[in-house]
Amino acid sequence: MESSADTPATTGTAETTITFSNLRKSFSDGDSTFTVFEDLDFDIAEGGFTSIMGPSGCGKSTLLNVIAGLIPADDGEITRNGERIEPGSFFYGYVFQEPRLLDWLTIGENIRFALRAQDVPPEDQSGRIYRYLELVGLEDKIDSYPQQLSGGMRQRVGIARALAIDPDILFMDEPFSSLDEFTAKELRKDLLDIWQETAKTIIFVTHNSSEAVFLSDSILILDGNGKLFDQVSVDVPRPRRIGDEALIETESAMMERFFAHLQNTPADDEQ
Amino acid sequence: MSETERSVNASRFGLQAWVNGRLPIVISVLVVVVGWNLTAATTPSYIFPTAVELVAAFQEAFGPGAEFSAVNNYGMTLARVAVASICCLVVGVTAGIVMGTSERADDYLFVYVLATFAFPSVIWAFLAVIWFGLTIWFVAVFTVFMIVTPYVAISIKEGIEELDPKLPEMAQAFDASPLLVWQNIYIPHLYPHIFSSIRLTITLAWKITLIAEIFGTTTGLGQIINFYFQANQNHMIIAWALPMMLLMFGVDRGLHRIETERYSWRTDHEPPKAA
Repeated sequence: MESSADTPATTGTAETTITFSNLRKSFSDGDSTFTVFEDLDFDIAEGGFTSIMGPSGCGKSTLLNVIAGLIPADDGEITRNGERIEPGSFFYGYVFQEPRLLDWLTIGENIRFALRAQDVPPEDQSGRIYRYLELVGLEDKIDSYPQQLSGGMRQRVGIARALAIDPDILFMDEPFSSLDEFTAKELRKDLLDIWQETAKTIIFVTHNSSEAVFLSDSILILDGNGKLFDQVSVDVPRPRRIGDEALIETESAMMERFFAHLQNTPADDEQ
Repeated sequence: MSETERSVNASRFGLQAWVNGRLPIVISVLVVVVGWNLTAATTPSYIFPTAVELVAAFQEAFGPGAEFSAVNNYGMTLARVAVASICCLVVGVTAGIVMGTSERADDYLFVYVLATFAFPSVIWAFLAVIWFGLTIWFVAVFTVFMIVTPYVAISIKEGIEELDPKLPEMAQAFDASPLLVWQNIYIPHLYPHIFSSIRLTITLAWKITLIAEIFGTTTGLGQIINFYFQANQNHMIIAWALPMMLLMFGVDRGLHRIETERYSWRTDHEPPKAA
């Protein structure tokens, strides 16, 4: 395991790197300004699985939304293989913490909503809906309504909806954090299979360190003050097994450094 | 326990369940019937008719040689209720959507809505007669419109505010056009609110129409009731009013049934929602 904020994430499959430099985001409320993060520099490998990890309220989700272009950054630059690209120009699919399905539409129609939003030609829609529901193992639920499914199934539909538009990047904002641990474990394994099959770039936000280590090639760790404190490469070969020694070692070393860092830099109370 | 005992018990439980379910309705009806007969027995028929006298009143009202045409008068009243309801719903739903989606519009329109809320129904009817005179449509439709529209607007506005803001956010993340968001999120979310507004509107509209007809028209059920009131014939008032009450009750139950069937996804199987 290597670890340094300067080391770019590298994986076997990725060739292209997206570089984020000097990202800054603050919110002002009247006279007071709250800085979520500043001077963030990091790389994301295309085709790789990158996690953004940190304690609750550290700005992980805000960072994800800035990368997605849903929230404009105050400052910063994004380059892809050295070429500058506009924020918000990524073609992405978004998986939310809650499934955010439309209760009045069937599972199939929920996915069709995303396809229509992206102007996918009508004749291609039904085929895609079936294919991606099959990918998440829910093709027989195509005519069910969201309220008839379990929480885990609904989250699978959310994943199928995000993938069905065939995006370049999949953004996932703590997608398994409101599920029970058994369901979450199952979905993590399936997510890795889906990732291998679709070869998407995934950016995954979590506050769960073992989840981050199990899933990722590379983990960006934010501290409580919105500073990028560490970027960890997880070089454990795949397919990975839950409880693998190497994963546990990586996680405990990572957390040790994180807690040592916390003790050295007390939280900034001024914010 | 023997087989027969068991089956007797089972059927008794079946009957029991039926009685338990229907009992409140049966008792309510019985109380009305007994109360009705007691009152009727101690008063003359023009004040309170017995059931038998009421049947005679029905014959007098709708049999051959009836004083007023049932088709024309019920028809006129129903037409007014329909026109007024449509006006209330079109304007009320539109105003509610505008108020629910634009805070500025809400600030302006809210004053009007509050002001009309404070206005008693009868005053609108009187004002309408003074302004428009005796008319076929205007007094009834205007009175209903002024009273019911604010209720519809508020109900729709609150419906929009109940929508989970995470759903439009989701649509934004998928780059959905405003048209698509309205078609698939706002409108379906509002259907139950629109539906209950339709029920509320019809229920209120027919009662208000009746009052408006007493003051501001020369035809319709309200006029007939006014006529028999002047003539001091209560049994005829009841005979004319009952069919309309039954019809409105039926319409409301019918709409309620469609509502529960159409939106069964809401109640059918409702596990706790994700946080």
